Amino acid sequence: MEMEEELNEKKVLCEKIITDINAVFLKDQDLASFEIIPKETNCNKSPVVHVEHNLGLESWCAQHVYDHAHRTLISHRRQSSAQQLRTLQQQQQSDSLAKYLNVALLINPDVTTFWHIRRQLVQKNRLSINKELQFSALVLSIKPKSNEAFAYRRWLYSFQSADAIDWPNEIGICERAADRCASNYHAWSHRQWILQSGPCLIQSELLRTEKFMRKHISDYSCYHYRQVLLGRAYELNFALFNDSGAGGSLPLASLQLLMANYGLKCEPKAEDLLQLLLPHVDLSSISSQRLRSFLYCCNVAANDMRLCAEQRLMYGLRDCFDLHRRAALKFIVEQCVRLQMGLASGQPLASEAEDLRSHLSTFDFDKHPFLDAVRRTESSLGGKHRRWCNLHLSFGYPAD
Amino acid sequence: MVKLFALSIFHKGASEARLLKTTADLQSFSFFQRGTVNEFMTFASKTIVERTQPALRQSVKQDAYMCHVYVRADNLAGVLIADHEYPHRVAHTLITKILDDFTAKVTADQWPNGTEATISFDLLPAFLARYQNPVEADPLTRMQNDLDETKIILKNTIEAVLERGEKLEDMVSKSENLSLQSKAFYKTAKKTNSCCSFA
Repeated sequence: MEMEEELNEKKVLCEKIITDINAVFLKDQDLASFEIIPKETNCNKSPVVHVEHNLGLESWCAQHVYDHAHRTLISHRRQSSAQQLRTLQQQQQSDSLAKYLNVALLINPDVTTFWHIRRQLVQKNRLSINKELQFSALVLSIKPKSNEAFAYRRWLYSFQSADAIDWPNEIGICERAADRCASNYHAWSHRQWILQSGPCLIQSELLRTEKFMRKHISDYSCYHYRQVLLGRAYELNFALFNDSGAGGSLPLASLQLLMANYGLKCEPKAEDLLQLLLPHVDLSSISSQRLRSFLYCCNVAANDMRLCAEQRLMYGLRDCFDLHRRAALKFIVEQCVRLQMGLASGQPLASEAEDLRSHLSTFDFDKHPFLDAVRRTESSLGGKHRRWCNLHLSFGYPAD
Repeated sequence: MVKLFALSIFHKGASEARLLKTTADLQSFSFFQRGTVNEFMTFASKTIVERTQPALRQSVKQDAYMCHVYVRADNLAGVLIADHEYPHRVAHTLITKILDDFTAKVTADQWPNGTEATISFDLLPAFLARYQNPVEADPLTRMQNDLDETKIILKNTIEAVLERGEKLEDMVSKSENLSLQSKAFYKTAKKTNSCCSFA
């Protein structure tokens, strides 16, 4: 009898806390973060804290509240569909379902079933898409690595037209999540999805990712995203001109510096660089847009190679610096060889990748001063690097 | 991550260290943690200054953070709390520079009895913002080539700085500068071995 009373008391308390949290949701349209505040004992005050658009729940009650919400939701799910329909017909009921869902997912964002119930409610127009976007962003504030939350956002956006989506805001959400949690590949995958689905964000993304890489020096997830970004820029024939000077020119300083590092002198002019990168190629057979994008993207890759070298001087050895430098080098070498072979299309197809490999393995480096210089210089970077060059660039160094 | 969290200046007296000025950038911590984190950073800074001999430099690692300390021969001390990836050499160069600037603005007679309120020196926030990017400090590092990196003592935990018989846990519970909330926070965080996730 006593135990039952105690249980009942607990239930009332949990209901009260869930109602309090719901009240905050209703009152504050701009809720920015949720977190559990470590506090071991009940001080006879409400454990729901709401300050400047931040919501906190004291840790002593989190487990009880979660258990209660979980039990309520599961028992709802166990009802027959006829019963569910009857209860759902009453708007009030679905509201209260939402309040349990909110609390349960904020405390434990990994329960797919609960996300699924939300989807069902959205499909029945019981939850608004905008509110749901806000809620999933709130979940990301407590768990930046929640793949469920990112997937849910993509699902929600499938009901909206691309013009109606606030893409820069979406990028901001990814960036905050990646900033707070290292190796957050879920956030970067979501950002790749934005890159594929949204408007052309390449220019701002190139700036943002470089800044991010300078701060998160050993987080390879962002370096990887930048490699994808560069590939995408090339695929879209993207090129950007310098603002200064009449008509604007391509930024080519990094590429010129790269040439100098390989012992090749040239002016930072498009004609000179093309002569070095693509000798024996009939340039008139390639569209000028393709050539411009080729130079632009190679310049970005050259910039990254220099950045990695500088970072290495500043911070010492890091895998990220070496790996990213290799990826950038591979990009330049492969695009040179592809154009040399007459593969001017942006998209590297699967079959083409095979072609590229066989071309590379039979490529006559002696006839290509730039690639030959690369091959000579890179060989001084150690046995491990030489093996990598043999494997990926078919440089054909003798085995150690 | 390459990040600076806090900068503070102390005067190391005979019995304890006196905080003269401090600033912190805690935006990367979640909202309700910031107050506690701030208290703990000041607590750790003070503790380490008190256990560092004059004319000595130390870099103390604690979890993902690095606490760089320099106590000058005249007992003026600077503490910089950074992420462990922030270059140590740059951190110590910055402390030297800040203490030089401080000495130029605040005369030595104000140090032993100064408090945050009485000392007028408001360059710390600008310093903290500017040197988030260690490249900014490059000219400084070149100017102070005499900083001998091998003389910086490296310690792996705060516990390693404490004197024999001292325990961090006791010091936390005895400290008058930590609020009850922060003490509870420390206990809970220690138990779950994580400060930002539940379950």
